[in-house]
Amino acid sequence: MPKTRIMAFTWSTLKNLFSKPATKNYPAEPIRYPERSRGHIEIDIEDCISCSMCARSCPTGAITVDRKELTWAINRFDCLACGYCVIKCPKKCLHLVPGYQTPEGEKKEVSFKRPAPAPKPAAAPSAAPKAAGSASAAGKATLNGDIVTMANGKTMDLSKFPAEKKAEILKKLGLDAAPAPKAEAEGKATLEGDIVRLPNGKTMDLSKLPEANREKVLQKLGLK
Amino acid sequence: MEEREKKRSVVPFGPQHPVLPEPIHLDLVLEDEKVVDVIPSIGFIHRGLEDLVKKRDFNEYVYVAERTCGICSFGHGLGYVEAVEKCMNVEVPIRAKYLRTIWSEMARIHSHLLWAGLMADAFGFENLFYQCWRLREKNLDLVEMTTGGRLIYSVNKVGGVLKDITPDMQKVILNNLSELEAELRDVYKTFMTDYSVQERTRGVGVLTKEQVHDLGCCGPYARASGVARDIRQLGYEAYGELDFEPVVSNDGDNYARCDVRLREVFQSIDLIRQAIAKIPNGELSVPVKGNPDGEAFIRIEQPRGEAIYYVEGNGTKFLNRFRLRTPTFANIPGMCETMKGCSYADIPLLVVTIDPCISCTER
Amino acid sequence: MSAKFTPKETIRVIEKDGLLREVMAMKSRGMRLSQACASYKDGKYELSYSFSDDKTLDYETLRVVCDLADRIPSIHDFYSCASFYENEMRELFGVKIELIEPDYHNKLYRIKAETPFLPEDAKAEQKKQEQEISLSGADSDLDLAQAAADEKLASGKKEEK
Repeated sequence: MPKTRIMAFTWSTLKNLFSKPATKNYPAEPIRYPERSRGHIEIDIEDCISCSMCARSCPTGAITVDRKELTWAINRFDCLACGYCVIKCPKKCLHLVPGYQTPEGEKKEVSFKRPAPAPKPAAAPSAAPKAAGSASAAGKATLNGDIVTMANGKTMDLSKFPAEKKAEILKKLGLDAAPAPKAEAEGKATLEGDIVRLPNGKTMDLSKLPEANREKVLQKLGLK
Repeated sequence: MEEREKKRSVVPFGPQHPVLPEPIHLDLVLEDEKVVDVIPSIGFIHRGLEDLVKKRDFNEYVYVAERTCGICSFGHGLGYVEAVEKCMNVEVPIRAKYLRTIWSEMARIHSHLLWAGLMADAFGFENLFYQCWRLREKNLDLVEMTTGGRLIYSVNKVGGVLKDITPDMQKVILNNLSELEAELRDVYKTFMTDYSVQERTRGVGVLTKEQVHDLGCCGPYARASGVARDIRQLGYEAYGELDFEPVVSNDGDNYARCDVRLREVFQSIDLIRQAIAKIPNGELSVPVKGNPDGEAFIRIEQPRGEAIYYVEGNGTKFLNRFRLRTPTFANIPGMCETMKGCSYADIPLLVVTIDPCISCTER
Repeated sequence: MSAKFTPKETIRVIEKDGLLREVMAMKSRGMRLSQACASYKDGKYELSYSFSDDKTLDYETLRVVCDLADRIPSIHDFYSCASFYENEMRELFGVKIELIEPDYHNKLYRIKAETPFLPEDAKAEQKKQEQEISLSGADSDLDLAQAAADEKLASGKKEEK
């Protein structure tokens, strides 16, 4: 038989009566959210590439992405702050930060517009070398010294790669067939003793080649 | 002399009632203040969440599954993720298992304290109601510090967890839990020894062990009637490495149910301490490739009882079927049985003792 | 140290006609009905009745694979708590379960749409199969029992009026 007491809660009641209230005096005292608090989504709009991964992954459909207008809009009242879009974004330009949406009378969307992407270098033929001009117009990659300019405008610095990798890349892009003559068109090869320095920066040690081949190489490079 | 024929009247209870956290409707058949029969009906917040698996892929569905209910939300996310992991044969890292166990126990503390407050409100002891919820705020602060949300945790994903509990956070957790435990002793003493509480709860709503078995009740509701079964003994997540026994009482009345649930809060605090002492270092998640194909049943112990998660995949990224059977669904027949023969004034208490979570029941 | 359990979890496919016998066997073994759910896969219903043993935590599921217009008997005679599950299966999926007690007549969840979890083409297929059965005139025992129960309900309503 358990004990029975009258007014068993008295001591706690008196303690509560004479101690500080458990509630915070909001809005006079500002709220301090813990650092992991999931409040709302913010975007670094300059990094956005309008891939729409966030819009596809949102469980409520709060995000809308317009590729043509280059906008990213979020309906803050529909957003659950679950964080799935932050995980899915390939550019990691979305962040989930503390601070909740204040109540309002109507739901509305907040829209951000990203700056237009820079025009692709392939579209400006004066910048690329003449020999490369026709190739890029056809949609091919072009070689300018050590820099390969792809058809989509992106550039790649071949000097960063080891020799075999460079050759592989050039072969893949279809640039290995005519690099030597193209290079010739821009600059000449130079001979320093037994070392031939090509315009693309590569060096070749002639002493390693057999006699007959040495002659052929020198003829090809126009050094003899 | 002719005895006056007892007339029956049908009184509707709910769906709106001050004592109910969520809407449920009961048709009470009364004979002069004594309840003779109860016909429950649900269906006020059915959202068809189980059908949404066809439109949200299996990774995204975690966020939907968690939002089935606000009180038991971590358990639902955990059960769903475990079922998909079993279907795809994914082995979760050990640190993630311990973290999930810690959060699971924090969810249990918050749920039982919420229930204790509602119970105190149901028998009119508002002061005790506020004290219980004040203690619950301490727990919610810990949850917000570690996961970012107070009720919806959003830390589960297929293959592990998304966030870590750092050693600094672990110290804060242990300190706050010690404070919570000290204050909880006062509340427990009041629930168990106060005269007014005992008058309203002792001997009311008695369910025997055989009745519990026939009606299919589970969780603290069954454990208060002497059934010593706790699904955490299966050893899912890190429970296999922790030391605990199911909390059981033999009386089967409302008083025993208060006792069992409050003692489970103490047990949860102890389990969190054990888990933090033993937690190993390691990764938080493993990458998951492919789509679920096959089916899996998972049982976990929610604060309200045994919850069953059934997942059936068909090789695409959308699941074919997800079924969630919540403990309240199984306890409602038991509740109706306890009401037969009791007085009309005890009905609100009897509804609150099953810890009804109707939004889980209806999904 | 707390007790360790290594429960067996099995799924067994049974025939629709053997359902009541299997459920009776479960009841005599002292198993508790844990859950019952329905699923629609490849043109057939898959009903799962799960039973749990509270002593050893074993989990056995009986799986019934049936056609869309098949009639399934209710198991409420053995497990009175089965009514909610069966009402839900009938309301959401359109599984033809009969003699449920208490019968909510598709109003358990109070939803406007009929059998929302069943795809549209399956609904059409189900109607076609029902027509074939009624044309062939196969009146099962369940049919007669259901008709008797409906009549009783209708006469009870008349009395009240």
